Amino acid sequence: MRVLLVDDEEELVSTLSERLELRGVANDWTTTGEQGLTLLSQREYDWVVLDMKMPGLGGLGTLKAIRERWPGLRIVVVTGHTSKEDYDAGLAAGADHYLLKPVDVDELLALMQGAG
Amino acid sequence: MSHPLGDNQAREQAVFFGQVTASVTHEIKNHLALINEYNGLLADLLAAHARGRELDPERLAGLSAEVRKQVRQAGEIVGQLNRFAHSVDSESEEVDLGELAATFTALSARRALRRRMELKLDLPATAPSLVCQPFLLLLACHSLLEAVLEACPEGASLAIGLEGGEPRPRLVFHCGETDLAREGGPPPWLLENLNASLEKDASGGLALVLGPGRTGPAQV
Repeated sequence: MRVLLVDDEEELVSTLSERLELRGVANDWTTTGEQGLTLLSQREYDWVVLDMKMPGLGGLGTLKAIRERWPGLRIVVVTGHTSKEDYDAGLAAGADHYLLKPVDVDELLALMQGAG
Repeated sequence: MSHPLGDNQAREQAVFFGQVTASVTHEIKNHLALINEYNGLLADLLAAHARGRELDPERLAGLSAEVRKQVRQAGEIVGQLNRFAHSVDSESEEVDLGELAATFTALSARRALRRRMELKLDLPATAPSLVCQPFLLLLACHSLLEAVLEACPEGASLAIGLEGGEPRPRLVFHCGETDLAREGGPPPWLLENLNASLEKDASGGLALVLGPGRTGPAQV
């Protein structure tokens, strides 16, 4: 399993990356949706963990772009806001799962492993 | 009971208070989340060590430094939020404009960052002071920043300068080469209350001209 983490909060995403790595999950991370799309075009991933609140293309824009180009890719959207709007928008745009930030690494892992 | 400034004006102030509080508490939450993550990573590293993985002292020292950094940054923003909360304490007081500009910039940094913009504050060696209601002055700065953020391209650098020219100190907003128009910004009632005006700067910036003030530190 290979995971792509996309979050503009570099310290948070790099720590999550290290914690996943310690659990044996291969992953890459980036801080922009634009770079995330580039990585997706260069390498095969099983999951994308995507922050919804990002500048530039943003979480929603990135999510829609991923769904257009990689319809089968599994996506977990995360946000620091308990906003129903974010939740609805994420799921409507094709996210498979939704988690609140900070992501509980074991919950994320269980979700990905449980989904098979 | 109606508010002495009118319902709309009272609402504008309440919205501003709410926006700042929401933004700063979100920022504090981020610092706490990071501290929690570093703690989690530390536990992971210790668990891996128990399974035979070598423990890297430099990595541990790095994590400790990160935690200190997050605690310091959270403490700083809490201090600024506290100053902001106390800005409603009096109807009129002598305000050190340098301190107020620093508080405003710290409280607004996250708002600007959402548009990939960095706020740079330029203060004179001796900041002027002004007798006013500090909360309303912060609201005026906030309204002006909202207008400037709308006008500036994403990723631009936004400079906030405090000029202490007699008799009227000025807070000047510059956004690179962008010629900022006199649109939006503080509403007339607010400018009137502060005896302030909005003026175009010769180099394309927008200035909140305050006044009349006095040069030198506030006599508290």
